Amino acid sequence: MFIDAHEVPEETNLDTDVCIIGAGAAGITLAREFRSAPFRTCLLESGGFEYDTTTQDLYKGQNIGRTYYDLDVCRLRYFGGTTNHWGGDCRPLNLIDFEEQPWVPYSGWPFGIEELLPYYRRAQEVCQLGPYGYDAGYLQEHIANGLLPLDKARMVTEVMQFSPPTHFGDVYRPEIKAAVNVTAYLNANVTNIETRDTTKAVTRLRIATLSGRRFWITAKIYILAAGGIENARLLLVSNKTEAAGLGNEHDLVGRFFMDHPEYIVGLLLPVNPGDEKWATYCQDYYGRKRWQMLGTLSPRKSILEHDQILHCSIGLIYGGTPSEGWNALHEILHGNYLGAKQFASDLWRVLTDIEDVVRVGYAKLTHGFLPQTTFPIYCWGQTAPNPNSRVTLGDKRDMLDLPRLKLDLQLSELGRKSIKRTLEIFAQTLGETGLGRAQMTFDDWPSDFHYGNHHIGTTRMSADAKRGVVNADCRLHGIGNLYVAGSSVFPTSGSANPTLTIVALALRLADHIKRSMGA
Amino acid sequence: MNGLTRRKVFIALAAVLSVFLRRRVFGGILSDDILADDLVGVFEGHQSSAKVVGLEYLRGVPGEATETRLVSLICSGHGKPPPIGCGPRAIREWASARSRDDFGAGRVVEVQGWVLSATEVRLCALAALS
Repeated sequence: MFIDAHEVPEETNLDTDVCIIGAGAAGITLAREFRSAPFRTCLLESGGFEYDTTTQDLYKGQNIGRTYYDLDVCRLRYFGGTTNHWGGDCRPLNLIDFEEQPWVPYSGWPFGIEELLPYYRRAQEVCQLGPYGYDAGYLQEHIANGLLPLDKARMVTEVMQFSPPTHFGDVYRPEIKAAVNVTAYLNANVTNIETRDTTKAVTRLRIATLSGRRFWITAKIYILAAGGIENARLLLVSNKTEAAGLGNEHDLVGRFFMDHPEYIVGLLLPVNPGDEKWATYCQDYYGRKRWQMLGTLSPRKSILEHDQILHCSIGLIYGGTPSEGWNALHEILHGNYLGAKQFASDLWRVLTDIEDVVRVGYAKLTHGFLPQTTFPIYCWGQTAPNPNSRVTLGDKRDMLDLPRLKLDLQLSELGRKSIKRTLEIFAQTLGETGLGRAQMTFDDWPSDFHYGNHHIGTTRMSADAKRGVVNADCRLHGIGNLYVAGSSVFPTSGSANPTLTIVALALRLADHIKRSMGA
Repeated sequence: MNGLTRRKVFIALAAVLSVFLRRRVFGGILSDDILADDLVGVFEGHQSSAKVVGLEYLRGVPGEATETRLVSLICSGHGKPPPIGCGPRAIREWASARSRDDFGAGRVVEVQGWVLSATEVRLCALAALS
């Protein structure tokens, strides 16, 4: 059921068993898992069902490091969270992402990929995907055009699947509404996580609405699922017992912030531009329009280890319509012409290019592949964990009187080197297979680099309290009843889009909570 | 490097690529009579394009800007020597295979960011000098 927090009587103390802070991918996944559990769950959401500028304003912050997106633009604060503008890209992390890599400082998860595999399979359904298949064999079976022989000694074909995308708020709202043991409070902002003086356990949450109503929530177990940046913020602002904030004894909360650098890093000149197999690797072609999956290429694990680089992935961009006549027809059909003269000019361009217009039109109608003179090369990179890349509390305050955040995004030399080397390996593979040549246009991080809007690492996981904020169960070191869900617990980012892993970890955490609650 | 030069190199490279990756016909036999003209014959109709790429390469390695040096570098080293005297098709066949080997072994050079095999780019340089 849903309750508007504005209707909760002032200074009420609401009692529940499990309280989830945040209704995004992780929070909603957890709440769904608890629907059939023999305990009460409370799901707190700062916003309502729709985007609201006043609530969204709570996300404003300051970028003081590398150029990055505005903090109130790269995430969303209403039911469904940032999945409300999710693109749907899904990949599991790779085997090597979980391992301690001697050349990557602070790398290594407290468990291997085998621990997450059963949860990845369950996450497929949550993200409205098909069967779990992320290797070349699976792609070969499901892509009509097949693969190019790029999967050679140095590179391996991987798969990206595409969720519709699942907007968790819209898709799972009916289930949350119908769940008798789940109560979701809208417009409910957590302003403090209270602990006993010893900070060994959370005692209650202070809740506030933007209209000024305040009340408390008491639970046996609390799960922080407010997003990769906000999780750290809520721990840092909960500093009444410990000045550095909750779980911050070793000054790790907010550090190691990572996002995925994503960029066009080169150009491919194919020998056979009309070979439809290229489409298998083209973003925005088969990926989203027809097959709901995409082939990507990455250096093999042995190469990553030998060259001491991070895992990065390569894909291609489908150029679309290389026809002047088609573009002119598009202008006419969409009424973008500026009067009769422009219309006549566009019409002339259509008529003089009629062969291409028909060809492109047919290809568009049938989802056919148009020969491409070149393909821009796209890279999904990663950057190494860096303690100096961090979020901290700033001097400015929001409407709830909480300090706004400052984000100091730093990238790593290892990340730069890894993208460049991955591109070199790809270029050599193209030459070796005779499929084409590649131009490398990436050398150093440009100022306008793009990122995936993936907020990772600020409450990192480690078995060692001196290296991580949460343990392998995603519970805060030293606090018995506070857990963290979401990408903030990732110790390393991999190059995979994080949502599938966020959901898999949430499913794993749900199982753990159910066990600990005796369910 | 201005945009016009970059575009010229790109167009030239596209032409050169069509030479290197054309279907192969047969393998030739080795001759001791190594001639730059035979090697440059690989470009058959695309020599001006090869020159653009070759000149750009030689700007970075002026020490290779003699026919003798280039022929020596092209013919020596790894794999079979070129089938001199067997015609452009045989040379093309050889150059194509040699280029693939270069890529496999990491014998590559960068020309304006393009990753090219050492053999193909030196053949272009030879065309630029001839």
